[in-house]
Amino acid sequence: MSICISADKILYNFLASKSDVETSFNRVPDQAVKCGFGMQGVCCRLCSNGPCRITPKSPRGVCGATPDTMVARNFLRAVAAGAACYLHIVENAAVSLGEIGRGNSDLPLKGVSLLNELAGRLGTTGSTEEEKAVNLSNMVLADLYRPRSEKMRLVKKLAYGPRYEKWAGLGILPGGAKSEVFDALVKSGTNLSSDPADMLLHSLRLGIATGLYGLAMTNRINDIIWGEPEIRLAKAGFGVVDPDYINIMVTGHQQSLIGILQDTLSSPAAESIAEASGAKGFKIVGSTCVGQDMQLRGAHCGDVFAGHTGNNFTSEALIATGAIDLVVSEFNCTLPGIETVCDQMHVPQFCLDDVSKKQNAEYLPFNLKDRHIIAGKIIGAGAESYAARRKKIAIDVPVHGYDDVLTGLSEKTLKNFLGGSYKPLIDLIVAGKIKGIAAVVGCSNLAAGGHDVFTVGMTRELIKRDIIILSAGCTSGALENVGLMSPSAAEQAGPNLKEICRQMGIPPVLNFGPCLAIGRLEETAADIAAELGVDLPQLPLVLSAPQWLEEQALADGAFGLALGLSLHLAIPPFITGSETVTRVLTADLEQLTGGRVIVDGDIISTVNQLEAVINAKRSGLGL
Amino acid sequence: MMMKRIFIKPELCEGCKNCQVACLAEHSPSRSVWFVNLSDQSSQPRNYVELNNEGRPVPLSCRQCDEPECVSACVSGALQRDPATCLVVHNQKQCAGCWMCVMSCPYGMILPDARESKIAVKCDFCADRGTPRCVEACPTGAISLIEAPSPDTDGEYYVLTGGEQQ
Amino acid sequence: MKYLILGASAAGLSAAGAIRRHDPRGEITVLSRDSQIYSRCLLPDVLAGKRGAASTCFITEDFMQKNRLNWAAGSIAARLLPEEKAVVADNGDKLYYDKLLIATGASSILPPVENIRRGRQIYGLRNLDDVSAIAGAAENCLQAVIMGGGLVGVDAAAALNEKGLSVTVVEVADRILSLQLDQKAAGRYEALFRDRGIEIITGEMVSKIVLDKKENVAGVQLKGGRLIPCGLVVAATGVKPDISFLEGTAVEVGRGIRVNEYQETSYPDIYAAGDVCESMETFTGKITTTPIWSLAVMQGKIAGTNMAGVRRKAAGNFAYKNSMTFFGLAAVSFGLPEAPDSSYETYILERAGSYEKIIIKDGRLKGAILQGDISRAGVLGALIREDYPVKVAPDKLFDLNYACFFRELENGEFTYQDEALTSK
Repeated sequence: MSICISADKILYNFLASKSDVETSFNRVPDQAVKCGFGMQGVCCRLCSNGPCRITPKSPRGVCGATPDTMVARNFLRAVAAGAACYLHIVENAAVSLGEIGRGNSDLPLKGVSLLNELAGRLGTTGSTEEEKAVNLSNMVLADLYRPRSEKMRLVKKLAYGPRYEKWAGLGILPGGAKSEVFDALVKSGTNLSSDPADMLLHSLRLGIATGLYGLAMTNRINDIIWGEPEIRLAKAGFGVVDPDYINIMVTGHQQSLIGILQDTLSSPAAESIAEASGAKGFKIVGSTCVGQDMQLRGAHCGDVFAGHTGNNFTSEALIATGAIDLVVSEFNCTLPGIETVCDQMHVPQFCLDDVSKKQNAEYLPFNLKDRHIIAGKIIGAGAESYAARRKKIAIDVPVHGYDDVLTGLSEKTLKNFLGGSYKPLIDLIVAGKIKGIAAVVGCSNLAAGGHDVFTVGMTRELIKRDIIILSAGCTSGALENVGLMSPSAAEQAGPNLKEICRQMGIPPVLNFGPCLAIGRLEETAADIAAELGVDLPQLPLVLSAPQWLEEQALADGAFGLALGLSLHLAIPPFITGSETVTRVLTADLEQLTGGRVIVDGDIISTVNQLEAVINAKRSGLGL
Repeated sequence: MMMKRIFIKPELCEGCKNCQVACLAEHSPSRSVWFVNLSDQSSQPRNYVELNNEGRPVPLSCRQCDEPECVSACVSGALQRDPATCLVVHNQKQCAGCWMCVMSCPYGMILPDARESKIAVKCDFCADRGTPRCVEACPTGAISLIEAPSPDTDGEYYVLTGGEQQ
Repeated sequence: MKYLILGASAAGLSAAGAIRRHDPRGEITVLSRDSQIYSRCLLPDVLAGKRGAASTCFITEDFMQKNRLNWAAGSIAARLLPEEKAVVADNGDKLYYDKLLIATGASSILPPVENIRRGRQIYGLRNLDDVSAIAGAAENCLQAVIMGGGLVGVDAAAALNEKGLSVTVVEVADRILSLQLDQKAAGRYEALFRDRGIEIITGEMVSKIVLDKKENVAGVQLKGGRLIPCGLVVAATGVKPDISFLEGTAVEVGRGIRVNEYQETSYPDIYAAGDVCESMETFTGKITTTPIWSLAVMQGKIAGTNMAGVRRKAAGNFAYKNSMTFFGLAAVSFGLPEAPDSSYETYILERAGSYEKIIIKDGRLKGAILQGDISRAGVLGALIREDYPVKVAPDKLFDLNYACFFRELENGEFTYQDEALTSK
């Protein structure tokens, strides 16, 4: 039986050699036959008259819903679900920040300078850092919990000025974020809204709430709690796994939860427990975005963080190495597929947030106050698991990954790296040495040519054309594991970009970390735009989520469209059954926000299109 | 000689109509299931999913009969049985839109075109592909491909159905 | 073995192909008046200018060559000498045979109307020559009268209307297409024709053709007295089998040449197929002519197969079916257009521009008319032809489709079988 291919050859060979382990890669061929109605978004199963599907002979649902209505409803529901995910994350992060501020935890705040800076920007009161933390937490939570009739108050202070004006003009400033999600579900219900335009505008509001709060604010809060990113070189890939340690694999998106393991697992008490089991100690093995987050803040994690191994679809393989002794998850990109592999490899699972509760996982309800108890249970279970399973399970960690992945890039570190201003980068763009910027973001899927195939192929082609890449999301896991985030990747870039990378000692693909860092890319773009005195849509910057996977990615995408960016997707977001929705998203929207969706499943044609957008924006700026 | 023929196992059909979407896609400009216009009422699938008396879906498409009545009925010569593939081939340019074939197919597998109702439209077995799209698109195996013995009609123009050979 | 086939249309060429399939070495000669192969059914399209004469050819280019047929075009049989096993052609040639197929078809008949044989612009619509003649006459006049509102007449009317002539159809029955359609369906066509400017006169007949001094057609006079000026008359009042060359022979002839289910005539080694013959018709159970293209093909094939020594019976000799399309409105009819008496049940459904009617007796379909949406036609036709019992509620009748009768052979072909048909 053939398995899905991957741009990561070593990973592919590893999985191909594991004929006794079933992963997502094995299931791809069996799911190769797709439902055409689902693909086009014209299957409606909102009510018992359905499922209704659109064909030339049945152009409307039983209720009279047109394909436009069906697609818009399905799309809005997906965006709302994705927004809900990120809003859940920022809510938890804000709660943790408040708890620390109130002294309900012994955790220190590692990013106080950012806290003070942010407090100044947002007008957060407080005479002490603790008070500011509490007040900032309250401000964020208050906005999230507002009714939809009340606009969120921080939007104006968080958004790039010209964008805020644009959104106000379009009437898409979001009300309370959770209420926006709530009402999106209401209006996309049976026999409620039939208006595709209204539902698409609602999607943009959800996108703004997602971007400014779910993404950017989560980053800031995590930076305040766990420390701000610092640029450094790090190991990445399966090579970070040392079988001599008790390896605790983490999956999810919430460092605000997982972070509690950082100091406890490296405590002398934990070390002695580990040694008693015959291990050298504990290691946190990063997988999926939370691993990417810890890599980004790796300067503050200490040795207990082994490093980041890879993206969502490498997680099953990681467990299959046999070197993982325990899985702790707190959010999505915790594939159901890991459960069978965990069972096979005798790996117990723990869950810190019931939104990602796996059937066989033990749920440890998260509470910052109980962090030592929770960590203690995990330490105990890890040691027990190590002792019990290592005798039975063969360990096979492939030689995989890179030791020199440049990490720690953020809106601030990049600017500092450039000397405190984006002017040097702008000068390179003006001089044509760098043609433009492509933000390659989002997930990985096993669809667009295979695992990471489109992402890696497109990125290689973009850098050849002197377009610099900023990556955030599972794309980072993909690109670091094929070496594109190591300085030596400069050799694969076009002549101009290669020269710049060599001079600066950087790769042509800059690693901003997890998908949450899409918020950092927005801030980076806003800084550059501010320096130039233009609005975001004028920048020679494109956004691509080539291998977008799920609803969260669509919420991110909605943010990108609200920002006025051209957003490429290799696979259509289940909208092509509606002429109206497709036209609005791929064309008409440009007149409103400046953004639009580009759907293209071919790498070269995509890069041609993205380059054309960059060139057009360059000419718009007189370059 | 042996020919390829679509075989139906109706008990496996879930009525998903994916075979129809695949057929629409194959006969659309993009050939893509992502991009075929499903709302275009001037297009039509050449296969059908109909309910039987028990309300169960049955996928149906042209059988490429050994002795196709549509070919016997065709007054223009647009319908021919290709001796090389044993497929019933319809030449749309030659078609007169007289509906003799529509009237004559006992199974209702050839119909007027939805665009203008000027020519007949039938399954072309996705002629330039090895396997018809509907077969590939069926998630349950209700539509599959078999090899079947078929009379070699080379040198013979007409064929018919029904008569018993003695 | 020497085979002789008289006629090079559907039945004749179908037979030729069948003979060649079963007898690779026999010598096959085809004698025909036409020196061009064309489909009679497409003549109205040629007349209307929608199709060139060349593209009415219904066989592949290499058909004659591939089947190694000697085609003697341009002459017809003048006399049959069955004892000598020979046919004398009108050019004097004497052609010998071991097996003979008569597939000479039929010709238009001119009704007994004053001046009809004298007038110059009076034509049937049966051959390519007729088309050229009508087209030529149409160049020189503005008005045409069609005698007969059957399929041929209505076809001619539509074609001449499309050529820009002012057309009048005179039909003796109370409606056009009375053999194929009921009042309602015919009425919809009549309305469509009138919208296009075609005059339809029913319940009337032409009593006299009015000629000028040079015997050119100047008009027609109706029985009721009305005078309709015109420069062209198309006579579409029926056809008769071309059997005059059989006079004096022992070949049994009724309205056409009588044949059995092997397409054999009463005389050994002589077969007949197509419009020229009469046979046991499935729907009526009576001996009738069966002037339907698909039956000519079927009968030709059966005749050829038997001539080549392989015994095979004709099947599905069902002549009560018609398909048509005029000005974009399609219709198919089978069996009875109207219920003859109260032992029949009639069900009618009108939806979105379509008119559908089904006539049932004792749980079996006896007639169906579909006008507009004809997509269910094939299945209804099969049910009527095969006289299958259809036990479904009346409201399901119009949704009958093959899924209700699905049965598949091992080789993937579909079939109708009784157990599947008597659906619960």
